[in-house]
Amino acid sequence: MHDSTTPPPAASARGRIVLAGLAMAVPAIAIALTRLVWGDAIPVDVASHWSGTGAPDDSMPAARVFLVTLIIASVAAIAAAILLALPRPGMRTKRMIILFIGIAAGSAASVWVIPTWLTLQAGSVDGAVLGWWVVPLAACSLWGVIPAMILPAQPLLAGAAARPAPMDLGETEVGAWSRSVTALLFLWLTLALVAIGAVAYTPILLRGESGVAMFGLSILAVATLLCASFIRLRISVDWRGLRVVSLFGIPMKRIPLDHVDVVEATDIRPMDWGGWGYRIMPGRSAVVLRSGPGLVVTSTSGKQFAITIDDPEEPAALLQALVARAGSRA
Amino acid sequence: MLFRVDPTSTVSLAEQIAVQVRSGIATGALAPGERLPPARDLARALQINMHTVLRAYGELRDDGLIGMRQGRGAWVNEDAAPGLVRVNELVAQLVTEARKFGITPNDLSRMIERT
Repeated sequence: MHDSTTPPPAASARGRIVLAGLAMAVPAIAIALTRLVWGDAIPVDVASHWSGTGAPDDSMPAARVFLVTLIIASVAAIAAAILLALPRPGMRTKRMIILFIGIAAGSAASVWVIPTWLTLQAGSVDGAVLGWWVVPLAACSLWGVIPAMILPAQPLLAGAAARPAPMDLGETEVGAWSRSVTALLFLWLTLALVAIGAVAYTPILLRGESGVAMFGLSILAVATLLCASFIRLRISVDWRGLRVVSLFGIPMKRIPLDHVDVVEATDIRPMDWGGWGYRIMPGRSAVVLRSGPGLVVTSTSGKQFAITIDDPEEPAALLQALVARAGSRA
Repeated sequence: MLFRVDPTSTVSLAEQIAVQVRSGIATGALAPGERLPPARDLARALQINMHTVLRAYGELRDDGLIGMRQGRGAWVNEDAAPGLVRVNELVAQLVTEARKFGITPNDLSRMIERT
C-alpha cells in the first residue's frame, strides 16, 4: 500500500476535503474581513513586537503588516486548495503538508489581527499591552490542526497485483507455515534500556540508597524484559490464522481466519506505517523491522496489519487458501 | 518453513513431515544451523499429536540431518546439506547414465519405486 496517490473519495470524504479547503481559507478571510470592518479606525502604525507581555517595543506600518500577512494567508489557502484537488500524493502526505501550511496561515492571521486590534483599542502603539493576548496569538498558529483533522483518512485500497493466488491445498491437507525472525530493533532498544538503567541506578545502588529507587528500578527492569521478549518473534500462519508471538509466548498480534478479509504480499515502506518497530495507529498496526517485502492483512473490520518478512508470497498464499477453506466450510 | 500434511494419505504423518524437512534441507529452504519449529508448536499448528512430530524429528536425528537437545529444540545440522547435495549429485549422474540407454527420468522413477 503506497501513500503516493489518493483514490477517488466517497461523497462524505469529498465533503470533508472541501470543508478542509474552506478551513484553510479562514485565515485569509479573517485578515480581509477585519481590514474591512475596522476600516478607517486602523492606525497608521501598529505594534509589531513584544519582548514580554508588557508594552510593545517596535511598530510597523499597518499597511505593510496587512499586505504581507494577507499574501501569506492567501497563498496558503490557494496552495492548500490546489494540493487537495491533485490526485497525488496520498492523503497522509497531504495532511502533513496542510498542517504546516495551516500553521503558516494561522500565524499570519494572528500577526495581523491581534496586534492591530490591541493598537486600535489602546489608541496608540505604546498602549498596546500584550497581556493575556499572548495566548491566542500563539494558539492561532495551531490553526493548521483543524483542516488536518477534518481531512478524511486514506481509503483502504488493495492492489490486485499484490494478492497472490491461494495455495492449492488438497481437500484433506493441513498446512502450517512459520518462521522465526530476530528483531534487531528490539535488541538495540533493550540494550539502550539496560544502559539507561545502569547509568541512572548504579550510583544510587552504590550509595546503598535502595528503597524508593527500587520501585523505579523494578519498573525499568520489567520494561527491559518486555522489550527483550520482542527480540525473537515467531510468525505463523495456520488454522489459528496469522499470529505474531514474542519470545515468552506473549502474542503481539493474532488475526483469526474468519477475521481475514484481504491478504497481500507487498512492499512495506516504514513511513506508511508510522516508522520502524511495533506501530499502533488508529485502524492500522504493523511490525516493521525493515523496509521491503512483507505481508499486509486487512481484517473484516477494515483494520490493517502489516509485518515485514522475506518471501511473503508463500505465507500469503497459504493464508488465502486457509481463509477460503474456512469461509466455504462456515 | 511450510509444512503440508495429509492425514488421509497412506504415508504416515511422521514420514510426511520427515520428507518435507529433508527436501527443505536439500533445496536450501532450511539452512544449516536453522532452527526447526519446536515439536509442540508444529504439532499444534498442524493439529496432530506432538509425539508424531517427535517421531519425525527422531528419525531425522538418527539420519544425522538434525540435532535435538532437551530445552534447545531441534535444528538443522551444519553438515546436513552436503549429504543431500551428494544424493543430488548421484541423481544427476544416474539420469545422465540412464539417458544413454534411452531410459527417461520417468522410467527411472518407476524403477526406483519398485526397489
